[in-house]
Amino acid sequence: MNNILYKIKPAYIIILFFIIVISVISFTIYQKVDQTGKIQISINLVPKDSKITIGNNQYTNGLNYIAPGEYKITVQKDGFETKKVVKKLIKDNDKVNISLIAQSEEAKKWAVINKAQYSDFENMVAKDTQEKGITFQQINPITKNLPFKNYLFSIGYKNDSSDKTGNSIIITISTSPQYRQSAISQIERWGYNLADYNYEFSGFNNPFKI
Amino acid sequence: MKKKIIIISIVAIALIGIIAYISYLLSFKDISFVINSDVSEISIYKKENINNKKDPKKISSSQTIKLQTGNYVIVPSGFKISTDQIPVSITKNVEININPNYSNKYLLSVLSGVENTILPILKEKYPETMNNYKITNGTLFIKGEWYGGLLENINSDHNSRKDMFRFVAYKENNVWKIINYPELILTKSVYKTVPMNILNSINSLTSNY
Repeated sequence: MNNILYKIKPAYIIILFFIIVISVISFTIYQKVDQTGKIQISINLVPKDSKITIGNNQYTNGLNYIAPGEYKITVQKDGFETKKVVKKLIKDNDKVNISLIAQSEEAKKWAVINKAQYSDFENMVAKDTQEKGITFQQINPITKNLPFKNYLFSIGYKNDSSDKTGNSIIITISTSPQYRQSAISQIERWGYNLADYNYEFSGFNNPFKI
Repeated sequence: MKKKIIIISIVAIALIGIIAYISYLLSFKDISFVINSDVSEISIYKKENINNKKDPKKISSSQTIKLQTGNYVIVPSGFKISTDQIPVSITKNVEININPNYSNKYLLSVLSGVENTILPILKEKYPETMNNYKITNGTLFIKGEWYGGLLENINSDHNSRKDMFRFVAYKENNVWKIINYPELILTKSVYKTVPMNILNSINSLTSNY
């Protein structure tokens, strides 16, 4: 073995070194170019080796890169119930969390043996949901006070579908015209900036909107 | 030996003196004041002298002066402008624009004239609707180029309150324009061009009812 190493000319070692360096650089550049305009998403599947199709392309469990957009997602594996969902993947760290229910006897045995995969998945989804809830409330602190109802008016909120991040809300106010201003004053009394939110008043037609 | 010590001491003291003098000179910065034509004069006080109004440096036109690093308070004066104090901290050569808003007193004095201009614009834009509304609580902002007010229904009273609308207008090239249209609440997502403090002021206007 040593003899063989001694026989290799130093020039070959240098050439090999350069080939490796160029390959690594090329691969890195390819990856960067391939990821341009894409977002990093995290796919969490149970079973982990399920086949997932997002749009027309197949992906694998773990971190993946994808162009932002709304996709039809299909997850399938022999013996398990196929799941199809439509989901918006628009920002970095968006997640696709899908677990499949075992249907065949063999799959059910697998599910019993791999119970830990299901419980880890549930814990991860619960943690994710909690974190999402905190972020949402930080962005929309008024949601702490909502829904609010008294004998004159009620104030609630709904998601603003025009905001693709899903973090914006529309404040909904239900009352008679006589008490609309009271509802608005209530929001001010809570200490929120009226201009920060969008509003929808039930039964309201703006006579100045022409 | 003693002579040497004395010479060394003198040199050391001289060096310390030179360094202190250079430091003192370097603590002065070039401050370029750009003063708006509405401002007749500004008085620059060291922060510690503002209460007793001691030793002000006064300038009446745009110019560059030397000020030592530190905290200062500038008090502008002029017929139309607000004389609110402007705190500044001097740490380096800098340009300071003195362009205060108009005073509330001045804005109030021109308010009715502005409303006489804006009311016909509203009536022209909303001929039928404006038959039932009147402008109340109108306010001018900044240099009188922003106007905000309430539109209250003339049939509204304690027993039968009607919707009250808020609106904002802007004067550009001497022509007033209503921004968007009157709303129950002015939101920053719709009234993007309106400064936030103006939106907040108009949103906090309340009816007499």
